[in-house]
Amino acid sequence: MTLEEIAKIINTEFSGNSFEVTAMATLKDATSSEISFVSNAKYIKDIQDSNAGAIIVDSKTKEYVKEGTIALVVDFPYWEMATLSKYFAPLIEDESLAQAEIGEGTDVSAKAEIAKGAKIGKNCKIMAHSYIGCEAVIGDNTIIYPNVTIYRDCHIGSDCIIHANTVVGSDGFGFATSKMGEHRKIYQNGNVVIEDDVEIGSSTTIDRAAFGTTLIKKGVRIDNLVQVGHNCVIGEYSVLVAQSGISGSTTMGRNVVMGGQSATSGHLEIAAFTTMAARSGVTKSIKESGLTFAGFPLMQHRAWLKLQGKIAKLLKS
Amino acid sequence: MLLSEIASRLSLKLVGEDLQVSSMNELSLASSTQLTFAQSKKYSKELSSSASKSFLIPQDLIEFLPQNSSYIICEDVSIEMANASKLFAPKPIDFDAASPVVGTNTFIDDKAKVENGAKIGNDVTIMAGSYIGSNAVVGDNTIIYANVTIYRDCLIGSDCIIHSGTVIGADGFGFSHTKTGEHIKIYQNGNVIIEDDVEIGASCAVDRAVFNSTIIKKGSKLDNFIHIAHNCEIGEYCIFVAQTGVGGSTTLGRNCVVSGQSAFSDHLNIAAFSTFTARSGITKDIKESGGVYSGFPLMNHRDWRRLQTKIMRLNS
Repeated sequence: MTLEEIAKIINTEFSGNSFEVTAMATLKDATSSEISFVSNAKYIKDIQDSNAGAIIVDSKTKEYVKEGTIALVVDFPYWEMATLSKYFAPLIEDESLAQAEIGEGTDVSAKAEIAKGAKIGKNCKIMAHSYIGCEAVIGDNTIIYPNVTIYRDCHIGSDCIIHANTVVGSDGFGFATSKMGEHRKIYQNGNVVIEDDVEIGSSTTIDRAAFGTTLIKKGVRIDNLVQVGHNCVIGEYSVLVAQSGISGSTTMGRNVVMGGQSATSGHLEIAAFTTMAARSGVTKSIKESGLTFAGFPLMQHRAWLKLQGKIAKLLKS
Repeated sequence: MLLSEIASRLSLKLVGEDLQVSSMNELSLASSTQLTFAQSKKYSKELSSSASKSFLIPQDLIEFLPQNSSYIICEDVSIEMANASKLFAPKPIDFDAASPVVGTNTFIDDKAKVENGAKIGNDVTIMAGSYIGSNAVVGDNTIIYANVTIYRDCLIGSDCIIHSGTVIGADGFGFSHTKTGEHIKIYQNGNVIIEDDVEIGASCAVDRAVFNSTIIKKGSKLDNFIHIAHNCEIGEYCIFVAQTGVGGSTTLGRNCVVSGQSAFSDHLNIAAFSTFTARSGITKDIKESGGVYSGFPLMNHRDWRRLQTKIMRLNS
């Protein structure tokens, strides 16, 4: 799609030469053939470092766009970004792609569906009613139990096990909201990458990125009914216990343990070797590694134990 | 079904005229052709003004019945109501219905199943492993990803997106309990109505109503793992963040925001534009719109923050 066409879609004009826009991306990741956006004043500082070919901004932010980058000025950049995201959404099923490639020794149930353009490695097992989307990639020796859904473009490593009903690559929860309270979908055009030796329990959901990738690194263990939001990064060998939830764009170092029903807010950084007890509610980044936390609001586990002791005494007084 | 047949299947006695009844409904909503029920004197007023002509009631409520009512006297109304609900339950699959009607330019994967009586609009995508039950309706442009289940009789609007693993129309959680602690199923003979432009994430469950409909109104957006119980009514443009739950018959006004891991009790009324922060536990009606709430027990967000500060001071 050309920049000229994009300007027309979002009802604006620009000065400079139109070019072929290949994708939408964040300010940080955008290349010169890509378009980005600034929806929040706190990202103004990222504009200078961005390689984006064009940026959607409002009139107040326009002045920060550097020379050589084309500014598309609109009233509500976030809303127009949502409008535009639809035009970059790939087809859900793409019949024009090549037949799926299936490696030697791999057993695919006749009741499973492998979409066009998918690549499945050697010695995998894909059980009945599972669905592997367009251009998804699965490594060697991976077991996909029944009723698993892998959305298009997602990558699953080798030696992984995914249990029944789990969904990998469903849309992240992203909407722009108008002044009238209506919500417009931000199409989630990224994917999910699951590295090698990852086991995921049943009925877990891992959402695809808005732009870029939701990443589950090597050796991670995920229990049943866990929610991983879009654009999260789960560090190597981390453990997510049942019913825990990780909100969008939160990043974890290696060997983090999230206890049952614990959860995090979005956009946090959790240091390596952090342990969260059951029901922890994490709302701030954890910078020091190796500590154990509990409670909501979150505190160090030792303080939480002390507090519980005091609360128990309240009843006696 | 004739009242006399119901009475005989329940091994109970019918008093009054034998009438044809179409279905069951709760006391306040039952029409003249619907069978209804009242358990205790608490409902005597509603009973007197009911539009229904046929009732399951205990002996001591007979005096409150409208004139010319037909009734079946029950020792335990709640158990007999459950037993009667089974008589009205449709079969899981309606083989006798006409072949499904599918609009133009609609894609239905060979490995999806659309039952008889279903109606699928134009430009719809239904992916592998999905199931559309008997007499279900899916509007135009709607996308149903792989492995979604839409139970029979449920209605999905236009421009909706439903992600994998989600189940629309599973039975609401309703049982009558015997004195000896067994649970008798109340068959959930209602349906689910999802209006236009609704997006529902992966692995959500929207349960069918016991009578009538569970409704999700236009433009609402649900993240993953959202549980909406039977007979809920979710207002327009509401937002539900992951792992939240709404108890049965709770009604939300428009543009409510429900953050992660929050939950509502049943039978609540929540005013429009209410916001609940993560982990809120809502157990009472919210009457004033536009508030922001937190915690369990629930309080104003500002109070919750103050309380947390005080709790932390306990430790020092």
